[in-house]
Amino acid sequence: MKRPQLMGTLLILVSFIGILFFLTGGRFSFARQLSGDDASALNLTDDKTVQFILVTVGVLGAMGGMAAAIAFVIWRLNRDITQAQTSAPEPTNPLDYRIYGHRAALVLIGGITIVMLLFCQAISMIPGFGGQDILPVAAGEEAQAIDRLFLVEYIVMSVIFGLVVGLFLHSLLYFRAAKDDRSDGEFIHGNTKLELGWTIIPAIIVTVLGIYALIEFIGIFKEEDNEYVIKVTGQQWAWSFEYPDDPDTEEADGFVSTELVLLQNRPIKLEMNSLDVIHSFWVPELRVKQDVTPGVETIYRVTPTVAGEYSVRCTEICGLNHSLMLADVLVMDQSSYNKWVEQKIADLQDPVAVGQTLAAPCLTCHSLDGSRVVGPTWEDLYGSEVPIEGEGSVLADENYILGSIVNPNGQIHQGYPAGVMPQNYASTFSEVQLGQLLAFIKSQSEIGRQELEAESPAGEEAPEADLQVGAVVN
Amino acid sequence: MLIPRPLRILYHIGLLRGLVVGIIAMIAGMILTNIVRAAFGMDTMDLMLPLKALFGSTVWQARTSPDTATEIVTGMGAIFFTLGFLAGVGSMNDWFAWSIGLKGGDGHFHPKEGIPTWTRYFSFDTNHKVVGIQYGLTSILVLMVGGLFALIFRTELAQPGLQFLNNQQYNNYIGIHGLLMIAAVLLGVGALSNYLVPIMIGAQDMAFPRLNGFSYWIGVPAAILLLMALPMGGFDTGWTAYPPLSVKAPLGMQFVLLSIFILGFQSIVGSINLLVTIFMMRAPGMTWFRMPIFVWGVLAASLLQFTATQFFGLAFISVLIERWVNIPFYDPARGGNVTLYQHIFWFYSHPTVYIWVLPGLGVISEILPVFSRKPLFGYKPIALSSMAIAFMGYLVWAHHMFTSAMDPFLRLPFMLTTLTIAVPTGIKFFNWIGTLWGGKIHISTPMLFSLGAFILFLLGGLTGPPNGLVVTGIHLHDTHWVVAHFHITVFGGFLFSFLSAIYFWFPKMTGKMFNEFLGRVHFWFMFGGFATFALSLFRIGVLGMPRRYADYDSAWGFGSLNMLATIGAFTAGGSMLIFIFNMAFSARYGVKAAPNPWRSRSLEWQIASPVPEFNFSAIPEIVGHPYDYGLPGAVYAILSPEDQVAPLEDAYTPLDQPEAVGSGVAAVPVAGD
Repeated sequence: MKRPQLMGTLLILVSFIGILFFLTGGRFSFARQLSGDDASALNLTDDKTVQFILVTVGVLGAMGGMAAAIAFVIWRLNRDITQAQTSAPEPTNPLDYRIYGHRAALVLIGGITIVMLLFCQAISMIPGFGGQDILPVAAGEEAQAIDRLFLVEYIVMSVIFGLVVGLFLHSLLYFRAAKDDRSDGEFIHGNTKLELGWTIIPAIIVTVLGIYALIEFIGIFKEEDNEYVIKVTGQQWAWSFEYPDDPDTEEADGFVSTELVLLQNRPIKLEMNSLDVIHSFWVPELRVKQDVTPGVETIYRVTPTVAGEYSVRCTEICGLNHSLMLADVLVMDQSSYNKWVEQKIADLQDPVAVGQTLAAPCLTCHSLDGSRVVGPTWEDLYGSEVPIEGEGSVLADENYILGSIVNPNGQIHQGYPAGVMPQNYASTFSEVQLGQLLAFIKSQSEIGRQELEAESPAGEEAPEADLQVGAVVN
Repeated sequence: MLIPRPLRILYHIGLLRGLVVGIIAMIAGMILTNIVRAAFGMDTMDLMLPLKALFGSTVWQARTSPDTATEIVTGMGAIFFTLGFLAGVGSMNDWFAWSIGLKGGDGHFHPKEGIPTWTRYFSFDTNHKVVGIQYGLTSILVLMVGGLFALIFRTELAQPGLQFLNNQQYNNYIGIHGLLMIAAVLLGVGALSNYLVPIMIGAQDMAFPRLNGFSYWIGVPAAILLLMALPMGGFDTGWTAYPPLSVKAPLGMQFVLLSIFILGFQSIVGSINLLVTIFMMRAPGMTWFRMPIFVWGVLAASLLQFTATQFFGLAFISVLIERWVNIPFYDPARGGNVTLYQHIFWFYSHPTVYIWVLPGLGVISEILPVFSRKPLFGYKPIALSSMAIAFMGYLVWAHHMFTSAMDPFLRLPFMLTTLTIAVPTGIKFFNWIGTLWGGKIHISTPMLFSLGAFILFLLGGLTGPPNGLVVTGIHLHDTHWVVAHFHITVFGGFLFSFLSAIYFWFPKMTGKMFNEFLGRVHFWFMFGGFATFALSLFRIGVLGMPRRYADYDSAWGFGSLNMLATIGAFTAGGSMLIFIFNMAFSARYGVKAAPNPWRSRSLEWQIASPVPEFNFSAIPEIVGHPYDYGLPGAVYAILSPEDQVAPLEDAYTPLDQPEAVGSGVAAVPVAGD
């Protein structure tokens, strides 16, 4: 290789490495994971302005570098083709770079690989395009392990993409026929050594990847000693979470919640079940996903490590309001967690509060603020006159509301379609629970609130909370 | 003639005849079912209900959990419609005749006095080229309808919040989009294989021409039933139709189940026909390793189609049985198992991906050597890798179920089998590069599409291992990452190669040349638009947007990327209009094309364009390898002088240089040879 060409190649490679450094200087989550802590040496600055300038310079630099590389390759091509045409060499040695331009191909392969390695990072830094990093926050131990594998995969993908596309583009640039050239290419119909090479090497790569993933898999899904067990119930279109009785107090102080609150650094085992169709439990920040299937109890193990607010998203289509089947996930430190538990146990004495929890699946279709979702709103429902399809109107008293829950097609609210609401609530709610649900619906209207106050002075007659484990699940 | 000519022409359009007879049969079937039900004392369906709904005197409450009477009566109506349609279109005339001891027709096309020849494209016909074009036109039609649904819900997704669709419409549209696209792809595969395989192997037609026509026409009522699903109440399950949701779904679900079950016959019958044709009807001298590489792709795909489609039908029909007669296959409370469905379903639905892409990859392998003027690098490895992919396609189905209720440790063997598929797929890519390397590359529209397919399929392939490796797969499962992954795979593996094939063989099919400029414009809009779409979806998928969400929280921050994806989707969809205009306009007003404008060595390019009714007047003899570009004096086939019309002159792009190397086809057998 002649010195000027060597210099040109090296310059471009060095500029790419420099750009890589600039781009990753701000926040390269993979690099952080590799070095093991957030305050890694790569984290140059927290100053937003400086970061913005660095990123802009980096992105422009990457584009400029790629443009330079391609310009270089085209320059080389032109020169080589001219040379080849003037000296008209016989294509005898397939390693002859004047005919095949191997070095130009290498530059292309290297350049594309590096651009690919930077690609997601560069995109993720454009404001408004969904946050800073390639992946969402890694909020659990499993998430960190999974992200390590993502990094390996990403590097392997980039290298293979660079290799294949580099050779591909090189061929298109270098071997493009002249307009009036009607001659044929060389008669090369195969090469056994190459075939063996590109069969065996990919086989080794995927085997190694497979074994690595296998090891990670076993590590991720192993049982922990002090797992805290929470029962999860999925139904169209809501989640509920059932916390067990505290074994220390020997009281029936288990409770049901519509948000999943987890203690930081405590391994969790979720025992999941579905009341109707298949759902899937996924918290992007925890990375793990597991279907919730009727008739089978599925297990979800996770150890949350980063406190924060996340969400469960149902990822298996489950009918009409699939996209509304969400629930909050809060990972808390010990003191906030204790406060929350105390509050939930205190709420057990209040039928309205329990009713509110039970009402979670209802609220995807029935609003509390008067707006129309799928079914009629619950605001000021109790005690009002409800227009009935084909029957005039009826007073929304306890009988009407309980009847509409267990037999929704009995009396259809005018203007709302029949047959949308599930018809199995008579079997999923106990009678006490129906009472609590009714109390919550009452609490949404003025008339109902007055009745509730009259019924239970100072909360003394609050019904026994019978929400023992398993009550909701029948 | 007593009957006026326009009426006679209408009568000779098989499609119309089929529709009329089908509708009559449907009504008869519904009445019959009602009578039988009444005779056994069961409840019946109000047959006036659809008419009342049509004229607005009642609301069609199809969303109500369907009552069994309505379900079974409309279902039987659908089955009778299909049978009536097939009889009315004339697809079974000869079989009827034989079964009662008559002689039947000779199966050939006979022009009738006063009836224009275009009617044969809308009627039952046994000629494989007509059937191929019928498949192709239907495929593009279904593709456009399915794409339209995609654009509708893609627009809805462009911004957070529900703008103009509600959840029910959204769920219906994603499901129907998926199924229509699958139908379009299967029809497209049928188009390519029916049109090309017999000519490429030197045969005069398919092995079973009547079965061939039948297999096309059974797809038409299936497509009609599929579209009926929407007015009949829709279905909210997506295309996968997982029970128990599909058991509870509205009436539209049953039309989907029936339609896909019927479409399965098309796949099975069509693949039997192709297999027998490829095995039995190759021209003398065409050994396995002298077959054009596209035929290898079709062979591998047909083996899959022949052996796997039953499972799809089984999965769907078991849901239908549960809906109709309440056998609780998928009701855990009564001993059913919902995961069982997923195993049966994916045992077909994973191999089906290879049914789509193997012929597509065959097209790429076919086109690259022609435009590189160089032999196909590694013919045998490419051919055998297709068979390897087909075989290994059977062993990976459970990777669609990594998050399902099956035993978690079953994920590991399926992860390993999934990863091994990367090896034969990689072989194809490296060999394609070997083909390009050192060639004399000419880039025109068909080549552009093949090169685009190369890049997209590569991206699809590389984004596969993150799904297949369980650990990262459980994060990506059922997110927009997966949506992007299979769209880019099918666009690369099928759609771009299908378009490439249409551009490539358009001069052969019509005898006209398409507009090269419009073809290039189409490519760049399609490629750019689709890449924008797919790359945006990859990103939001990784960040946490699940599949099949009608709406998403604006706080998740997916708004801009979804908008970008929508713009990309519209660009790609809009470019299809350029394509259709180009094809339609060029077929009518295009420049006359030379018989062999691409200077290909393959058999179909040696004969006249458009191809004569029976392809070859005498069966050609194969004496060499199809891809010996650059080998002076190489001969592939010896055709009768009558068939050999390609003058090896390029009428399309007149060039001053004479052919440098032997054409590959000797016009006349060399004396003394």
